[in-house]
Amino acid sequence: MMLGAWFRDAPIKRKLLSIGLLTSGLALLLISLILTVKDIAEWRSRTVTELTTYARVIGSNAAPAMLFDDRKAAADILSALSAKPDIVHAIIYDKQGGEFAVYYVTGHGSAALPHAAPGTSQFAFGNLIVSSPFHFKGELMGSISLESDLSSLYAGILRSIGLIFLAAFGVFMIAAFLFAKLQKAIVTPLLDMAGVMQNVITEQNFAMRVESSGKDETGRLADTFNAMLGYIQLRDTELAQARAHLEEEVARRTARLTEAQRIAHIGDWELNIADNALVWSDEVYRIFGLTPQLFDASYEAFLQAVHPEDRQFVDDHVRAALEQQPYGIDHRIVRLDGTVRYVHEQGEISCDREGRALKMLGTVQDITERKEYEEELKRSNVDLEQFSYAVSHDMRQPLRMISSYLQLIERSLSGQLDNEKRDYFNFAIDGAKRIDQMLVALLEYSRVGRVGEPPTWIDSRAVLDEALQFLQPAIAEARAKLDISGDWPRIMARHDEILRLLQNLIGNAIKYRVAGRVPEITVSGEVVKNEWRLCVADNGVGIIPDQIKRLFQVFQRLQSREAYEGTGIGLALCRKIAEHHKGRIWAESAGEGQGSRFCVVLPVLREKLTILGGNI
Amino acid sequence: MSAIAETFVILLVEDEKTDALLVKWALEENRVSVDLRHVLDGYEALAYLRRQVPFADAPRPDLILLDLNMSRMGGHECLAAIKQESALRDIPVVVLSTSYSAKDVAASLERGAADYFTKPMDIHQLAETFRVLSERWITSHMADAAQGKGGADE
Repeated sequence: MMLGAWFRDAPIKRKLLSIGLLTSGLALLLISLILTVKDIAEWRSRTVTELTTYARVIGSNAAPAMLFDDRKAAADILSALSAKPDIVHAIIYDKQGGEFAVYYVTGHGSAALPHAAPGTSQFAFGNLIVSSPFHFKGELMGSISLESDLSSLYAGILRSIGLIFLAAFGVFMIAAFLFAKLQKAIVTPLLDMAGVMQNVITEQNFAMRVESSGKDETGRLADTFNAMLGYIQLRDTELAQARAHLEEEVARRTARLTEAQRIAHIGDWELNIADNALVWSDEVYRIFGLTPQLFDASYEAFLQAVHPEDRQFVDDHVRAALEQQPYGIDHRIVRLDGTVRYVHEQGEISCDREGRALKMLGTVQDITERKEYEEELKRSNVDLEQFSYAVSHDMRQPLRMISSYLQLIERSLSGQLDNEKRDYFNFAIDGAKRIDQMLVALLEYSRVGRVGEPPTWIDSRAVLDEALQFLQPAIAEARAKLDISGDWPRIMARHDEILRLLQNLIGNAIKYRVAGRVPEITVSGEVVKNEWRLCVADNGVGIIPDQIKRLFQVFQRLQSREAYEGTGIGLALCRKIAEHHKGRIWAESAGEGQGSRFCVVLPVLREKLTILGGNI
Repeated sequence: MSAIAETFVILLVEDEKTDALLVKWALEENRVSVDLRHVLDGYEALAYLRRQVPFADAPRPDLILLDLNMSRMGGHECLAAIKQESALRDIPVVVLSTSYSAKDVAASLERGAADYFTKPMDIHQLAETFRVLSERWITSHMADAAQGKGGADE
């Protein structure tokens, strides 16, 4: 296991070397062993053969000596063995197995030469003993045993083995040397590549390249790696360009946004809920008259800048915004120098996927100028109101004196006045009365949209009935036929103004009738999408089409006062009422004597939405 | 008859003498004979009602006719002052004004005015207005007024 781990972590260089040396070493060792075994076997069989041959030769020579029982001759034959120093002991046995002749080398002499069975050989104690029978003329004469000392044989074998292993070692060393040389061809390009990769990583320099080392696998790897680097380098360059472009674009847009905020006096802010950090745009700082050094950018610091009387109000709305209710409020802030500014603040919450509030985003707009205009407008409205009241009372009182006292004079002179003078009195009285009517009408006109009730939900049909009740005497007098139809929804409007509108339109339809023609008046309502259209059509005097646009202007009359009474303000008042309700009014007529149709379109709010809104 | 009628006292609070003259004419036109006392503004009216100098001996009115727009103390303020004094609270106050504005009508009634009439441009209408006014507030109350005062004299 440890060896395995070592091998896994070892550098390729060492791995290659290990593999090479191990395989060649093993091969050499195996070859050496086989050679050694073969050598030993050969040596042994050669020794046995040689010794057996000696025994046969000696036997055939010793046979005649045995026949003649010449022991001396036998001993001489044996002594010839001294030429072979390895043969240390030899005995010739007779037929009965008795020793006939003995030879031995000094130091080996021993009678106890094992009496091997004739025709056999046996190795023992570093010696080889061979026995061989011998015959004379076909008759067994006896046997001979030879003992050879193997030590010189063994020495030869050892020398031979030593040579084999020496040669193997030499070959091994050459192999190792060659491996060491050859492995570089594989390992060096890999090491180079690794070095370049390392540089690419540490220096982020994708312009580096690996030196290609040929067309083998390593070379292909290097080429592929280079191609990959080239691709990365291209992408890197493109990315850098895109980033530079993006940064430029962001800078340009930020500058534009900042400029837009400065012009509009609108700043934006972001409040991080978790750490209460508040980020203001430049314009917010400008609006608050602060600098980042003077402001510690937290919600509390913002509240401190809010006018003390508005603080609770602002805080309530911000907290409500945390419950998913966006807000838009006007409040005051106090700058460090004590100046009070009006701002319009909007904010809403931004949540993560689980619906947890992350941050609050909003805008703040300096509306001080607008507020000042509004205040001025309010003041001027109050002025106008007082002026109107003055007109209605202080100017009408003297007019009333003129008309009343002229009437009283006329009455007291009644016996003395001729018709002409009576007319003169009446002209003067009528003039005064007309001025008064016009004053009243003007006063009423100026009131629309300026004073009075806020809009409420009203039942349009109920208001119509109210108007008809007012007009009942006129309807009865003219014997007018009225047809009422269509949709009469609940609408969000000012009751008195709608009543006045209906009264004027229907009143006009009755008033501008053609003498001798029964007035037929159609009053219809229709809800289309988000609008309610109210039309009053009659069969009266009609309008010359190119005069229609004059109809809705103040004091414009299309009919002479002799024929039809009026101040010339009724339709102007209707237009003002329609516009005050974000609606419009128009008139249609085919021409004089052909009747006319007046239509008013008013927006219809969804009642449900307004109820959800709460305060109406 | 005439003696009883003249015991009905009306206090007219009106800063325009010409208007006061028209009121007098309108009453006469309707043949309503009353003791008409005229003061020029709210301060004088309160002085009269509280019998301060120079009104120490002035009779307590059975009806007050009150104009709204006057110099010094206006009609609304005067009306409120009258209704705050327990001794004066019972005297009906009828407002007579040039203004037809709903705001003025509502403000007057809220402060305790008994009725409200707009002064018309035309004397015939003025006469008609006073016919209605006297029917509601004078002739129908004359008997009570006379009885009350008669009872006190006896």
